[in-house]
Amino acid sequence: MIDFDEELTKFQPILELEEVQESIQNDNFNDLSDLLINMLNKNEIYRNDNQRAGNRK
Amino acid sequence: MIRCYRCGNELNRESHCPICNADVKDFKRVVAKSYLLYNQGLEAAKLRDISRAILLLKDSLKYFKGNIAARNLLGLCYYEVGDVMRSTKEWIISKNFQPDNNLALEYMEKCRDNLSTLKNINSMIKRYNLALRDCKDGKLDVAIIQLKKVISSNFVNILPAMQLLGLIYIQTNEYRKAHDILSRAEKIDRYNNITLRYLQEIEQNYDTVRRKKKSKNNTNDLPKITDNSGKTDVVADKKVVNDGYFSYVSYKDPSPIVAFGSLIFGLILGGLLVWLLILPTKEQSISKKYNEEINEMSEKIAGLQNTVNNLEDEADIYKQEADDIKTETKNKLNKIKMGKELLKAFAEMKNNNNQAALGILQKISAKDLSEDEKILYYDIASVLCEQDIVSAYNEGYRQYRSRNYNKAIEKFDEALKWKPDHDDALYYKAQAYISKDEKSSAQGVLEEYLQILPNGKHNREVSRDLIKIQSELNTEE
Repeated sequence: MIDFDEELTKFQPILELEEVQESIQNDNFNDLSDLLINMLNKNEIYRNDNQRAGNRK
Repeated sequence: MIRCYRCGNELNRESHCPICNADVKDFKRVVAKSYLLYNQGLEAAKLRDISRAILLLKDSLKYFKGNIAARNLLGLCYYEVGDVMRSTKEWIISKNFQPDNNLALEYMEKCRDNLSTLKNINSMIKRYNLALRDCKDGKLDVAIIQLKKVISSNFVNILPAMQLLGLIYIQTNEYRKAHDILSRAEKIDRYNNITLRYLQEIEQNYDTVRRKKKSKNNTNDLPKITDNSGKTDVVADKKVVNDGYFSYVSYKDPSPIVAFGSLIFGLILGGLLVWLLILPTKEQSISKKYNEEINEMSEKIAGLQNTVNNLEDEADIYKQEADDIKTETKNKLNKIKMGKELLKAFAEMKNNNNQAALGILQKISAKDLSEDEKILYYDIASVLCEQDIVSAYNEGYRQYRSRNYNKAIEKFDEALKWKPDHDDALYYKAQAYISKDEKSSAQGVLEEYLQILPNGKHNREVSRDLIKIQSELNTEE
């Protein structure tokens, strides 16, 4: 049996024209590729540091 | 085609970038996953499973935000279910990632070309949001009206509006309407969970009613069926017609006599209804029409009456003017006639026919003559009536001395008739009035004296008497 009030809570207001700009500005654009690139960059820095340390020894 | 995240060059099958030697093995996996999800989203969209397509495309963009195709398709899916502003948002972001050779530009161009449509869509969205708020406030009737308007608009199909209206209809037990609207929603987004769940709810209700009906039929009882509006009817010997959820064929065919009787009764009842309801209304409308016509005619008559009154007033003015002109003409003709008579009298006098001249002169009224004619008139009169004037004055003076003032005034008037500037006659006439103590008359004669004879021989006495009389009259007042 459908509970009307509970169902109503699932309906959300639709974005209006005036809210588009704000919505774009507030969006978080970070994706998995960003995280990965970040990790890869950090990995590379760490590897280079280790390499330099080994060379010194 | 995948580009290196560091240098932006095209990548080959190798795990490292051929240009910058960056490790792209995992990056390529992530991007590939994004494209895989895009393909699945595209398949779902082709099957009109818009809700699933949206989920897959959003996931695709979580893996790789630069997936332009996925973003553009996500925008299209949003547009399809009426979330136009979210679709615009996705296309704007897509344009920023790839300013050239991008389908999003084309979509946005179309929206921009038809700005009024975009505004109308926005107003529909606002209406939906209002309806949602009304629903939450318990104003279902108002919400239904708003949602009906949103759904009937040709600009866009707002899927949540259809689902919300379906939900309200389910809540108010209007299952047929709910089914109709949710079927429309199903055509837009075929496997939408909400739509399917509501349709299932309607189906279950329908089954429950059918089961109830069957069980009632088995016990040969009169079943009570709750209709859409919640009312309860007693229905006997029913057969379900499978064209909807609550359609029933009622009763067995009645016998011919009963049918004929019902027909006659129906006709009589219909006739009575016509007589009671329609005819009075018609009569009322006819009488109203006549009343309106009468009012209109009355107004016209009043207008005409007004015009007639105005014309009559104008006619009166013209008549008055004509009378004035007539009188004036008559006076002028009279004056001309008097002038001619005066000339005739003068001619008679010249011919020494004094008696005839005097007869003519007596017919002439001095007041009808012009100033020049008056001078001539009195000249002739003084010549013709010299003797009469002298004797009248003498008699008047004698009467005055004898204190017979009335007789004296009468005689002085006789003399003044032919010689109005008779110095002594005027003076003694005024004295007679003074003696009679008729101050007003005396004042009139004294003033006449000063006017006709400004240099008369009694001028000083007349002036003195006039001042005295005036002061006495003022004191009396």
